[in-house]
Amino acid sequence: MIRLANVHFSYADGNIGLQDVSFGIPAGELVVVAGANGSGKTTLLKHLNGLLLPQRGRVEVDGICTRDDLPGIRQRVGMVFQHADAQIVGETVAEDVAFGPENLCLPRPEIERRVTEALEAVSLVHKKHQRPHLLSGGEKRRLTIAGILAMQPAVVVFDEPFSSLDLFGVRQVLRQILALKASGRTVLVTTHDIDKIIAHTDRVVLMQEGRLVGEGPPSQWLPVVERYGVRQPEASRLGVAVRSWLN
Amino acid sequence: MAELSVFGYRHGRSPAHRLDVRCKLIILLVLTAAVVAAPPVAMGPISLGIILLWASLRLPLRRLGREIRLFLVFLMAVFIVRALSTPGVSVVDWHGLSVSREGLYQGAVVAWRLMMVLALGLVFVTTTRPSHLKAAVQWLLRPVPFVHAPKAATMVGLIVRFIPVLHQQVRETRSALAARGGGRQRLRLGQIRYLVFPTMRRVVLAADQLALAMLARGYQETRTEPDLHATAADGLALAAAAAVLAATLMI
Repeated sequence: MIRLANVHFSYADGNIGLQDVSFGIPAGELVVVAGANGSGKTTLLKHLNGLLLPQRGRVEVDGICTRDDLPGIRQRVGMVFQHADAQIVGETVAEDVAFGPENLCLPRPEIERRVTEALEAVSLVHKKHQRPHLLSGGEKRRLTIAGILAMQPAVVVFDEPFSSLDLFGVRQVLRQILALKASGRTVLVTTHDIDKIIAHTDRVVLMQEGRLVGEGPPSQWLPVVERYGVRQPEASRLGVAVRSWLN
Repeated sequence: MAELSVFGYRHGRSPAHRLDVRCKLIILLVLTAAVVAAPPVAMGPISLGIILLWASLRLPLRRLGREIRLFLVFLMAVFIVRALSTPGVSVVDWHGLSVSREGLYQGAVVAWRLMMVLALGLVFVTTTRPSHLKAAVQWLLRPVPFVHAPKAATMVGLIVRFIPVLHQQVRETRSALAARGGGRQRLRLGQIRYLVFPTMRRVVLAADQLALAMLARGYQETRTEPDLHATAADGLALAAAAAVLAATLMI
């Protein structure tokens, strides 16, 4: 369970990241956080992982406040960044995946077991000795997911996971996101291109200028998402048109 | 992205890959001392050894040449300065500049020594995982008082991690400049600022993002370190390096 209560955050340059944001997400849901550029989506995700701490309000994951136990929060909430290259820290694929478990001070055999499992889950086990920078865009994104899987988090947050990916890359990443959801994890995905994932989404969170402007099931918010700088999915647009025609 | 800098770890099974990183670090220091201290007559066998070491890594030599061409320019500059500044029998006189025979000889020897030191460093970087290097530095610094070994080791590890990133950023900035300059790859001296400042900005941003990503994955100084095991082969390699240094000092 994720709970945000009256969260406020502004950056050092005075830009407001989040303003009085409050909502809750039950465990096991796939949630899309949508909004235009600069609406506060990434700032919100960074609060969940403890990379940013709220200046006012509280962020809790499974009852633990991000202010109280940062290592515990980072073990519970894995974050996949928008730019995969920026997230890769290892000189080989296996070494990169091992980075998180090593930070958890796990024994070496357990680390190796988790690395193998995570690489198998994203179908990269045959590239474990390869240098990560030689992977394709989709493979790099899958590698970053493996790095998070190896930490066995209860919540995984994705920042714009489909950006700069071709069709095959999008399909591969989407498959991983759905597998995470199927395994019972809570998954949050930020995007302003919700078409790719909306069919599998339990809940939509809409952001605008750091404020939460809407939250609920997709059917409730899809007809109005374009007001907030998010492209309405074609299927939703068609549905609205058919309904108005029938009426 | 397919062409990547050689300044980074490459997985392999060469003898250099298999050595314990602590021994490898000491061997690097010992051999560097040998290269620096060796009389010119001993440079031939030492160079042959280093070339054989390189060959055992099976790295593409053409790419290596391309990657280290900036260092070659530096070595050429060292050679020229030595050739011009060392007194001796003049070979060429031109507008008051004199190139001496001794200067040419000295310049060639110094440039060759630097080249061999660079080659040794590259062998080390190519065959050593940064995480192992970090563990080795931590091990070496542990007995040193007033030094926070984990922090110092992390810094060394990050620097090594950042060499290929820096290289990549330079290449990307050059490509962006070439794309807007009619495809001209070479920069004039006055245009260097167009390369340096954007590259520095990108490197700082990349460092910032990398630090965030490390934090997001729970980075802390106390973590599971690689298992380091020294074997008899490490002892033999260490003894061989010490013998090379002793021999060069005795010649």
